[in-house]
Amino acid sequence: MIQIDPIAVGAMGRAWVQQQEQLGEGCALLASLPMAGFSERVTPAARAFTEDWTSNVDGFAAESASIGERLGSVVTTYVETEQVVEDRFCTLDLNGDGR
Amino acid sequence: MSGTAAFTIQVPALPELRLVGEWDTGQVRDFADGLVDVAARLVDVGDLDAGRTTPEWVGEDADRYQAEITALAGRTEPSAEALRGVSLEVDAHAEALDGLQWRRDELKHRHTVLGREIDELRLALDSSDEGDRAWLERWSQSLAGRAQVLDQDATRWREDLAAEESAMAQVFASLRTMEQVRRHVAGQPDLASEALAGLDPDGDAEDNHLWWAALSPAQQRAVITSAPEVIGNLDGLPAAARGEANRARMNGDIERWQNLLDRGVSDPDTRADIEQRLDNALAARDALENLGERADPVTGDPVVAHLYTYDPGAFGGDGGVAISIGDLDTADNVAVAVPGLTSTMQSIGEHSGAAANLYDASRSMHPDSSTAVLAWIDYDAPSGNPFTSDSAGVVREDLAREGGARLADTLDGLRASRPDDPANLTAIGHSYGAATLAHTLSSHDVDVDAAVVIGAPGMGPADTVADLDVPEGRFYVGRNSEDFVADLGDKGWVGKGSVGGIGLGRDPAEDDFGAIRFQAEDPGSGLIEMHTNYYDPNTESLWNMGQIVTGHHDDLMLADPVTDPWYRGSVDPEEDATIEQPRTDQEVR
Repeated sequence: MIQIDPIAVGAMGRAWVQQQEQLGEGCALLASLPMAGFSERVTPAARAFTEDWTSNVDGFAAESASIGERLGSVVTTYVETEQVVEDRFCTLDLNGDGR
Repeated sequence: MSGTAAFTIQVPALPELRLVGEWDTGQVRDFADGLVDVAARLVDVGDLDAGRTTPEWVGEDADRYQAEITALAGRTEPSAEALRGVSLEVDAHAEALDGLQWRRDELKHRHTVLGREIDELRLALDSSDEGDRAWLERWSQSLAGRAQVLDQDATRWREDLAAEESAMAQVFASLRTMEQVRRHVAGQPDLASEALAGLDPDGDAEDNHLWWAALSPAQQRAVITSAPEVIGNLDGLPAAARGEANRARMNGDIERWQNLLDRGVSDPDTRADIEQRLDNALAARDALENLGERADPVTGDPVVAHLYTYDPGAFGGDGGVAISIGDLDTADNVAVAVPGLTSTMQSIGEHSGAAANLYDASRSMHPDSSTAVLAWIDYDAPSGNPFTSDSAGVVREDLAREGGARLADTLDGLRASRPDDPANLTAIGHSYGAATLAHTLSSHDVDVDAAVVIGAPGMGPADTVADLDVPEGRFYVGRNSEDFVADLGDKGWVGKGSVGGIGLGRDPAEDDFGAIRFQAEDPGSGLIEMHTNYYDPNTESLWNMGQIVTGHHDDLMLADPVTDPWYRGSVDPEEDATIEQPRTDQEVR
């Protein structure tokens, strides 16, 4: 059985895209975290840590974007399919009288 | 001792505190707050997951969606927990640093007061007589006791700071990858953290070697994977481990910095900084790729190349790097080649090419022994550009002195990494790199089997070969008679280094210096080439260096030294010598 509420699923997709934007800001935040506060011996480890986490969070953002895009695609496909079916029903001449 | 009376009293020395360390706990706390902010964004992903799906959506797509977001949340939620945990540790670090700062201020205050009292004691002694002796002695003893306690407290402070810094660095290193996060959340010990806990942050190359050797293969693997920045440049470790760690760092840097630049960096200074570090990393990658295409001239196998040192942000952006051609961990002969002025990380392609020429020559001339050459640019070489801040270093020794200490550390590290299988180790300095090597050999206790300078503008603090820590008869100089840079060194009565600190010291090719001079004339032409062609194939210079590096000291093409009689200018007998072109691609029999 396939059942879908395109409005609800579309909203979920938009939420994931927003999430991607949030995580993108998180990446920027990580990249701009102040390193100057740490002493010379700690700074390399702190820098490597933030660079790795920038990459990790960037990966989460990309996954969120992908989920959002695919949800949108599901809705688009569903709506288009529904329209095609409806169009076909409309063009079917079931009575053979042209109506 | 001090005093004008008939007695003397020991005036205690004021201890040197050496309370070195700069930090800003306000910024450290900002860092911690930033992590909490990022963690909150990851929690939002979990909240989306908790919302799951709408009951009006059923089917295969819905099932796949649920599986995917559950898997994502399975990583974001532990990540949020990990970042919050690190944030707490960073806050605790700031607290500890505040405490250390308070203790440092207190120690400095005691130091000032003690110094003042010691001065007062000296004054009192100057105007004392026998009747003052008893109380002055008591005062002196009291001050000596306080000086001792102050010295002990300063030592403890340094140890506490080192322990605090090490602990913080380990926290960062222990939670960088998703695998580490998974183990952390599951309560499993992190192999890398366990291993890193035993690393002494103040240890020397031998300590580092012992630490590494005591780790299990699994721990070594974990450290290379999760803490490459800790061990990539750690002297005393095997070149293979350093090279793997540094390649991972380099590749990660290139990917991150390219992504950042692609996204856009609004601050121009930050952008310029990232661009420069990226260019440095790309230069290292290009050099490694070029070396990867070379084959050993004897076996035809690809040459081993390790990224031995990788520090793209060092020296004000010039960067530090060292790449080996050949296996430093096993080679019979190891040479460290130090270039001179204008060398930066972006010169590594050219310099590693020169080092590869020496590798090829050594292998071709003596195929029965293995050789590795380390192209080393891990010091702040003068730019030679009059418009940059380090241009003065071309004619002054400051940068050579600092570079000399760094080179000594590298040589110590190479020695420490192979205690049971020492290589025949040769250090080679070209141009300003020769002055740098001179500082290494004259101011540090290093263990090289031979040393070579080529195109040397002077020998820094060394007046003769006796000032250099090199086995007798194993210090060599190659000087093209038409090399204008090699003519800058002091000769005879002329002391170019005697005014205002300008100059680089004695000419090592001069007879008074006492080096063994080998032929290094070049058949080519061009002013610059006479200074830069020492590593060219089929030259006297490369042939002789191939002999020295492989330990064939009795079979060199020797040259007479430069002389500088008092009644005329210097005389170089090589000016009229026949220039030979020995084959460096053939076995020497």
